[in-house]
Amino acid sequence: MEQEKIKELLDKFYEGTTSEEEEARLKEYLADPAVASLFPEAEYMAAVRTAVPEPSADFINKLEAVTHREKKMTSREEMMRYSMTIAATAVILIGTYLLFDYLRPDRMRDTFSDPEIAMAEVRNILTTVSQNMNTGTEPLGSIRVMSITPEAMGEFGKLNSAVGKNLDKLRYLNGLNTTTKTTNNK
Amino acid sequence: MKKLVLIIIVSALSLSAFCQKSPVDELFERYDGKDGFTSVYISSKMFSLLARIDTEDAEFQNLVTRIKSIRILSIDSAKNVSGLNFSNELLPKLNRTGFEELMTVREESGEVRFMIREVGGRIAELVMVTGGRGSSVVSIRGDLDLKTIASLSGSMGIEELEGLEKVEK
Repeated sequence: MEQEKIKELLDKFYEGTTSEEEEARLKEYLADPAVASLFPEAEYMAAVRTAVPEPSADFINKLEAVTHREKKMTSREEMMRYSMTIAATAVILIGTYLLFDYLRPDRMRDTFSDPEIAMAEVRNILTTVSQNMNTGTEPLGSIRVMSITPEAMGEFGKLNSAVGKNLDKLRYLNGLNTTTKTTNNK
Repeated sequence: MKKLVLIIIVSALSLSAFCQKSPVDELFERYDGKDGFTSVYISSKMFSLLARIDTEDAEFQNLVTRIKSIRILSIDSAKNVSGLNFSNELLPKLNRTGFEELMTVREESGEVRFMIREVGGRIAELVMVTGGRGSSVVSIRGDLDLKTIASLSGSMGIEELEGLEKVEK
């Protein structure tokens, strides 16, 4: 009867369905050498220790040495990493902003849906801008006239040209007079 | 922890710098759709459609292909009780945000200012601000050619616009 109970417990143990209490009971049975000899396949049960030993003093250090490997980054790598983080964050924020801005209900929509009407309006707008621009540049016409050579300005140009030539002659004579005086003084 | 805070601060700063809106955008956002204001918006998508329409005027067609968007905001002068003037509101901000004055036309009816924003030596935006009671703002974005725009009305010869070519480049 006892033997059957042990067998049943052993089967449950191998299936992994025993409770802690049943395992303790099974160990108790098998602790008896007479019973253990009946179940040679369960010999190892006696060797199983239930108490967990205390870790050694440097256990934590050893564990960390195996599991945790810190890679020291150079300052350049660190800078690169931060730059990338900042750039990525900025991109996400900008993207979000643009998306919300695009989806804004009060965003300006096209006034015209017909391209022909839009084209007429564009021509009208550009002509208005052009007219205003030309009103501003009209005085430039007078400046252009001033830059025209005297010959191109008819009689007035001829007179102006003659006066200019005579003035050049007078300047030349004046220069000659000054040079003669300097020579005489020497 | 310190590094995390630093990352958040730097990211927030870069985001705020990126998201800073142009004064023109702010103005349109503030008054678009409000009572007493009229706005017109022609988007880049519409301009891509316009580029496919054949017109006899090749110069105009070329100009249209280079424009990305046009926005107009104007005040209904009859409803402008508060005396709102876009010139006063917009121009100081434009000067601070990389816009340069191209020209100012003063007439009896009011003042018209042309402001441009250059990117990489090309004119990326032209803003025409009209003062007075019926104040209006026209913003044209794209790769703009002022000489072609100015020659559209045909009231003036090209010679007078040679100065504008220098601005364009």
